[in-house]
Amino acid sequence: MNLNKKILTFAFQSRKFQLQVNKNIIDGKIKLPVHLAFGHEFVSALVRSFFLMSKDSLFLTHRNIHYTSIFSKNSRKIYQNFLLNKIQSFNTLGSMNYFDEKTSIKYTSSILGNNLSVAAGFAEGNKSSKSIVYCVVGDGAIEEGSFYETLLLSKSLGLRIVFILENNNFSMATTIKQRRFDMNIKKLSQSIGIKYYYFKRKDIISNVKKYRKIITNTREADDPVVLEFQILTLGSYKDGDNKINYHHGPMKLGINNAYVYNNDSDILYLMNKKLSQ
Amino acid sequence: MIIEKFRNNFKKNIFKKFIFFGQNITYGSRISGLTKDIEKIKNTKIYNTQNSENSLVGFGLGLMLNNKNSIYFAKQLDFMLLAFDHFVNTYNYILFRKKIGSFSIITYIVDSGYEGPQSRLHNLQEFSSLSYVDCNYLVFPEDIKINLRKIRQKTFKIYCISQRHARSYFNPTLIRHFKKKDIFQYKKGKSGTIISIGFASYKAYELIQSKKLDVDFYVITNPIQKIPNQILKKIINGKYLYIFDDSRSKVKKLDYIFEYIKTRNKNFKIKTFFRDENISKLYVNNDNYILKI
Repeated sequence: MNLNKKILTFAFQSRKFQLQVNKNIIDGKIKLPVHLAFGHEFVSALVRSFFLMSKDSLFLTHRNIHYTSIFSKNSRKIYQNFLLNKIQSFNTLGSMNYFDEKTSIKYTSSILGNNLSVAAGFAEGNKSSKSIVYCVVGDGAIEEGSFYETLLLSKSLGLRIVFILENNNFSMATTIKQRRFDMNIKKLSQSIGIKYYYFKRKDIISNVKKYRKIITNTREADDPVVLEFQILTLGSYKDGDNKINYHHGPMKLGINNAYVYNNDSDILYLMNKKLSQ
Repeated sequence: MIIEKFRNNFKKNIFKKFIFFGQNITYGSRISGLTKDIEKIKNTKIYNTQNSENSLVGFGLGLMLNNKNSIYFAKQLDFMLLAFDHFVNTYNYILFRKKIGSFSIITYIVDSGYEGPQSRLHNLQEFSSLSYVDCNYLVFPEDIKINLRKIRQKTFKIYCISQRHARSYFNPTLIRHFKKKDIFQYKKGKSGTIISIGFASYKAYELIQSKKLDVDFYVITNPIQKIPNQILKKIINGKYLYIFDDSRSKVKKLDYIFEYIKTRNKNFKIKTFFRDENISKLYVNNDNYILKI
């Protein structure tokens, strides 16, 4: 399968899975917290497409369904166990701390920034192989001290970690501008001697090329790297005059909707337009 | 010295590919002698690290998740407050994994006094209770020897040494070890019983020696373990029970003993020697609490 088609397939697979979970939430069949990730599928499909399942490892956050849906073969079965009629008898850690013994997803955490240093320890244990540890964070988690601490630790110990920063501009209902100074992650990373790359949301084709090159180089290096992805999480709601893009609850969608929106604001629509050519 | 006994027994329990890390472990005083000569242990990896306690605990748990064995040497227990998220959240996730490594934190409890609020943190009970981490006081050479064997187990442990007594010479003979309970009997006697938790054992032992008390003397090294019934039954056959606990914890883990005894013998004499909980005296670590005996 050609690369573009592969990425598209993973993205649609993730979307389809989320739509089913979304429906189960609307129908009241799932009550435990699930952080849907409509609009995040490009980055997870990209990571999946260059990921070596036998070697690499993935460290996720509470919003992880766009990864678990395409990395974990048991995701359907595990989510089935989240259904109300099964949950009582199922020993689960839930969606935010997704757990599957037989997958490359080694750890997921519901605590902001908690997965960073755990990923660093895991990467230290993998030093002798050419494997990569991928650690996903959001723009909220990088406000935690553990982000800086782990970048420093990874650089000092020469750990092969790809930090995937999914920047959707929201932490709960608050934009970056509403809560803090818009710090320069590039300069922060570079001040610790770590390479940084930015992935603009609409540059689908060049992002794929850029990502491939970075991962090829990282596999040969003993160094961490920071990749920041611009994300538009779908599922906005109104809070007074404010439009909140952070999405937690379900959307009014049927399970056959491929797209949330039939325009470029939906990453899947955009990906299909660019990668199908 | 206690610290020497610790170092000797520590080396014996390390196998190859262990990773040691922590701040100042290969420079200066090497955490007041805690990691002296650590470089001489063969086939291990050592990292003298940055000062990031939260991330260093996460790092150790990440190694554990990867089935690797490691030990984090930290200056003192109160520094670990920064890592409580990992003790609770990370550790309790990792426990679900079938194949994990061994991770231990070895540190001092600053019980020497006069360090201000830091001296306040002598609460291993709370650490253990909140996290379910296996917490251990390293007290006398014999219990140190036995408790350090657990380093090889594929679990998460915290070991604490007394800053105040690390260079003291105590070497009582071990009479019995209650294996599953981490309770050590150091003396046999007829007139009564003394039970001490952790570092209060030093004072209790000194008193037994100086006043020649004819008592059963039990030391609890794991602060949340319960006294087995066989000991409790024996206690009420004696004349009195003295309980020593020099921790700052308001949670007195031995309260259940009172209930057990009072329901069986209302006239039984129990005396407790706890620290003064008057807030103005909490930072000072004198032993006034114990002089009443």
